[in-house]
Parts: sequence; structure tokens; C-alpha cells
Amino acid sequence: MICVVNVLVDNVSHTYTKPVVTVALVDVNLEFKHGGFYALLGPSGCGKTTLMKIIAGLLKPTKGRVLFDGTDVTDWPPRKRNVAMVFQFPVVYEMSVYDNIAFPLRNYGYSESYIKKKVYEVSELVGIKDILKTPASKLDPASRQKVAIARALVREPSVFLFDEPLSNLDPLSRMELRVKIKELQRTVKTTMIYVTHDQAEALTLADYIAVMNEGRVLQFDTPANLYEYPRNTFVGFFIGNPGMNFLNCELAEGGLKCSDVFYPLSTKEVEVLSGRGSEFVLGIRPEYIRVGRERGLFKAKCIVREELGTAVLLHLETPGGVLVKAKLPPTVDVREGEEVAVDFPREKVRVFTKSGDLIF
Amino acid sequence: MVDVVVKDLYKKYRRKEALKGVSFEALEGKITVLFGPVGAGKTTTLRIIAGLERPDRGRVFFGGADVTDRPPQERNVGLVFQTFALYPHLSVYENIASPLRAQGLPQSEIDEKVRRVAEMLRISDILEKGPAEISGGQRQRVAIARALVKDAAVYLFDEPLTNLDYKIREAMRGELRKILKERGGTMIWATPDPQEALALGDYVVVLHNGVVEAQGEIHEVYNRPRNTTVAKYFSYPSMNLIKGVVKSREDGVLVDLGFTALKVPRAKLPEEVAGEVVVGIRPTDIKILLAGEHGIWGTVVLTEVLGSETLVHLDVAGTRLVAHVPEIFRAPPGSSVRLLIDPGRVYLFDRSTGELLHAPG
Repeated sequence: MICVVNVLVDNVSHTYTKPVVTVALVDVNLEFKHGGFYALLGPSGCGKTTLMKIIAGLLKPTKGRVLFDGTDVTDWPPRKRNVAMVFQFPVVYEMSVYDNIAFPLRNYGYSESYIKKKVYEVSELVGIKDILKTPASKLDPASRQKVAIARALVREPSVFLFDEPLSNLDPLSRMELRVKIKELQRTVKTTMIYVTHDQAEALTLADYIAVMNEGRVLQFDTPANLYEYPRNTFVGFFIGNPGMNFLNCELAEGGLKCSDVFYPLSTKEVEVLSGRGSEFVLGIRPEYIRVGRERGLFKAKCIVREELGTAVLLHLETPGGVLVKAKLPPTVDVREGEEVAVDFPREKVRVFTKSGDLIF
Repeated sequence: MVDVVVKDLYKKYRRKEALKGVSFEALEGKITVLFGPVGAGKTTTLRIIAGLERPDRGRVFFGGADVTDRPPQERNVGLVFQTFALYPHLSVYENIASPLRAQGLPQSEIDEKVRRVAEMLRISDILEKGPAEISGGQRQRVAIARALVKDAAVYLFDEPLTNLDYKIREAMRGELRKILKERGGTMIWATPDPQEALALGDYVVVLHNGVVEAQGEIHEVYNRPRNTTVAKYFSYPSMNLIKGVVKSREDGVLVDLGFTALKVPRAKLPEEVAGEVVVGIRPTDIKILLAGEHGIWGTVVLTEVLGSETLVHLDVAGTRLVAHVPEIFRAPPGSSVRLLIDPGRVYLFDRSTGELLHAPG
């Protein structure tokens, strides 16, 4: 049986002193529950890898604690924590796939018959049973990564950490391995923490995502909530392909005004906003924008039509210079240069403060 | 006219045959995407066009002239690589200006060109900064600007977006086509990403294992993939390819998939094609039905919700299928759903050669 662990990150801050003083993490509090699948998502330099190193024990935080099932492990070395890590560039040894997977078990001195049983078991799970005899160095990048995952899995870790394991693969292999990892987690039920800058990976894999920027956790929530109710404009921008559209607005008579775009508000909404200044940010996801020929909130010209395979992305510009992107089915027949009527469904519009915090 | 033509290129490295007879043309004023997964031969092809590598066999022509034996500096090519290096001690301005300084252009002309290209790539406000002071996305823009600033005949891009953060890639993809079009010249852009290819290209050359699998106008190649390799790789999400048996060829083709039979309208198969075929179905052409509607029963293996769209991985009587649902669809693994495959949207491929037999109109 694989033991699963509850991981608590308790008020962790970290500052690097070399080569220059850099604040990497600020007051991070997160709880990763038994057997859950979590993602740490954010741009380069947001602190996600630093946080993972702290959980793995590769780095001691300048402040705060890490607890595994209530036990303070902040000073424990990685080996004692029983964490497994899979990296962006898979590490495989110059030996057969079988020997690669058996390697950690042989180090622990298990019997060959036990090792054989375990190697077969995990290679079945990861889907590399057919290539056990192949030298690992001859494999393509996706298969190498599977070997690295199998080798991590065979140790029966308490916590599984992934550091951008798919970043180096081409899109097709990336999708295949993404599904494999998801299925795997469902079978082994180990607590998994997955670091990525790719929002699609985070949304599809994780039950809970911590969106990070500049060393802080901005929102720790389910994919659905991050998508529908981003707590601030950064989350709204970072989640989604592409992210939310934002219009810098002024509170005008009965609505929000951004150049030649006017979005009417209910009396109650005006009431809520009027206590909070005069400038706001209106946010709407490209998928929710409606584009038609006649009625709409405003008129805009399609300046770019971007084909995405399953959808098209229309870049729309109003005479007053307001830019929004609308994501529509590939069958939509709007050409570049054409004028269209644009509408924002009321239930999909979000309003943020000028500094980017969600109001409603 | 500086159309680029490569004819029958072969290149073998120590252990691997990188190119096995690659031929295509890239027209002036058009963006030609060199598409293929890792190891397809994209970089080798670009290096040969640039003159950084000599082919074992085959020729390269620029505007009709054979340049195969000419060194890189005589080819007038602008290059951007996946991993790019800026001069760390020079400002962004001087980095962009460096190829022009090497040509010995007067300062006034250099200044005008640098500022114009910086404007195009929206980096005018960081010209005085050093490479260490700007973000990864900005650095890549500077690298692209440095390639575009030259009045080159041919511009080559080797996956310049691959190493960037996802969000930066997404933002650049949208505006790059405009920028490249504005610049003009012959553009060859290598990428393994079908979405990036579709967003950027006029033409596409699909490379796989050193062989050109398809080439032509990009949407035409996408909508009529010449064979199963093109259908699998140059498709987003990847096309479902499953076995089928031809049961009847009267008034279209009736094909048995094991779990259901589809009557493919307007399909005509050559006489010699009998028995098994490969059936191609795009994930977007599989519909998940509401309760109460009639359809094929399938079991949900996994749902991947991507914001407002969902990829549903299904097991239908032992066959794995992926369906793309344009909305949020949640169903626990193991639950049963009913599906509808639109027979009018189905592709048929030859079982042994993999070649396209029928594409929807």
C-alpha cells in the first residue's frame, strides 16, 4: 500500500541571497490534502518551483514550516520525506528501461523477485510494459518521461511532485501523457503536486490550483471557480486561452463607460460600485462574448481572425479604440475588415476595482 | 522574386537519417509553416536553407539561383532560433542594430530601421534597457526584431515561441502574423504546434521522419489531410483514427466500426479498396447527447475541462475515442453517455497505405 500524506505549507516565506537578494515567496499558506491532485500555476519567476523545492526538502525556507500529516518536516532531508520528483528534462540512466525502474529498489536492497513484481506493476500502470528491454537512452522524450515517472512511482512515495514534466514534449505527446498522469493519479491516489506555467495543464489535471504571481498565492481554488470567479484580474488573465478581456471603465450615469462602449448596470450594482470610487475594470471571457449582425451592446470591426482549430478568435476593435477578443465556433463566418455587433451576457460580466480585485 | 525552392534534400548524421528527399517551395510574400513533431527534420531543413549545413544530396534555390554552395553570409537570410542569444553587454537598441552596423549602414538609416521594427514588435519603450532587465517574452521579441531589421530576402524561424511561457506564446501568436505580413519577404516558420501553425501560416509543409507528408495551402491541408500521419499530427486535438470495415458502397459508403455502422454520404471508394479502412473522426465531430436521446453508448474514461470546453476521453466497446465538447461537461469516470458521430464529417483512409480516400465536403 502506498501511504498518502497531508502536506501543510505554514506561513512560508523565502528570500534568496545569491546571486542577488530576491524575494521568492511571501507568506504562503496552503494545504494539500490526502490523495488530492494540486497544481501550482504561474509565470516564470512566480515562486512555484521554489515552493516545490521547499516541499521536497531541497531548500529550507527562510521563514515558516512544512508539515507532513501534522509532523514538522522543515528540517528533514529529502530522503526521509519520501517524496518523488519528476522534472522537465527526464533523467534516465544508460541501461534498459527495466533496470532504470528497478534502480531505486535495488538501492534499497529488495529481492529480485519482489523487484520484478513491482517493475511489472508500475510499468503496466504507466503503459511502458512493451519497452522494458529497450535501452532508455534510445527512447523518444515522451517515453523517457514515462520511465522517469515509473521509477518515481516504484518507490511508493508519500508525495509526488512534478516540475513541468510536459513542457519539453510536442503537443500530441503532451496531451497523451497528460491523460496518462491523470489516470495514474486516480489509480494510485498519492498526493500529487504539479508545477506548470501552462493553464491548460493545470485546469485539466488538478482538483485544486494555486495561482501564483510574484511570490504570492493569489487564489487557491477549483478550476471552475478560477474560471468563473477569478478573485483578481491577474487570475482572470492567466486562466483561459486567451485570458479574460479587461476594459478600463469609468462609472457613468447608470453604467460603466469605456471610450465608446457603455455597459448598463442595475440600480443595485450602481449602488455597490458608487461607494468604491469612480474607476473600475470590466472583465469578460472571450468565450462568453456574443457576436452577431444586428443587435448588440456596441459595434466593432474584426481586425484579425485567428484560426485555432476547434475555435476562431476574433480580434475586435471599436471606432473609439476599445479592443476585445471573442472566441467562437470555427463555423462563424466573420471576415477580417467586417463590422459586427458585440454583446456581453450579463451573468458573465465581472467587475473589478481599479487595482484589480473582484467586486462582483 | 526570392521564392525558396528546396529539391530532394538528403542529410544523414552519424546515426540518423534526418532528411530523406525533402522538396518544397516557399513563396515570396507568404508565410510557409514547416510543421512536424520533434525529430521530424525541421531544424536540419532550416539550417540547410540558411547555409549552416550542407545537404548530402539535393539543391537549394533562391529566386531561381542555385545557392547550395554559397556560404551563409552570401545568402541574405534573417534567422531566429528556439534558444536565442542576445549580446548581454549591449542595450536592446544596440542588439537590434548589430546586423545593420555589421553592414556599415549610416547611423540615420540604422536609427530609422531600428525604431520602425521596435514599433512593430511593441518594444519601443525598452530600447535603452539591457537584456538582463527585460522579461523572457521581451527578449524573444528583441531576437525577432534583430532578424527582421535586416532587409533579408528570406527569414527563417526555428520554433521561436517554444521555450516561452504559455501566456506569452498565446499573446504573440495573435499578432505575429500581422507583423510578419507587414515585413514581407519569404518567411519560413518551423513549429510542432498545430494551433500556432494555423494562426500564422499561409502554406504548410508537414514533415515527419525526414519526409514531406503533405504540403499546400494551410487550411486545405488541414481540412483534407493526405494521409493518417497528417491527420494525427496536424490536427488539434488529434483526429480519432479507428478501424472500420466497408459493408456497402451503394449511395455513399456504409462502414462498420464494430460498435456502430456509419453511412458516409457522397463517399466513393476506388474499386480495389475492399474490407478494412481507417476511419478518421475529429473530436469536434463527436457529440455527447442529452439523456433520452438515441445514440451510441460509451463509457467515460476521463474528462478534461479546459475552462469553457471539455475533452472527453471515452471507451466505446473497447475503442478509445476523444470527443471535444464546446462547453463544460462533467461526468465521473465509468459513467455511461450516449454519443452521436456525424457521418457527413467522417474521413476514410486506406488501411495499408494510410492515404486519404474520402474527406467531407
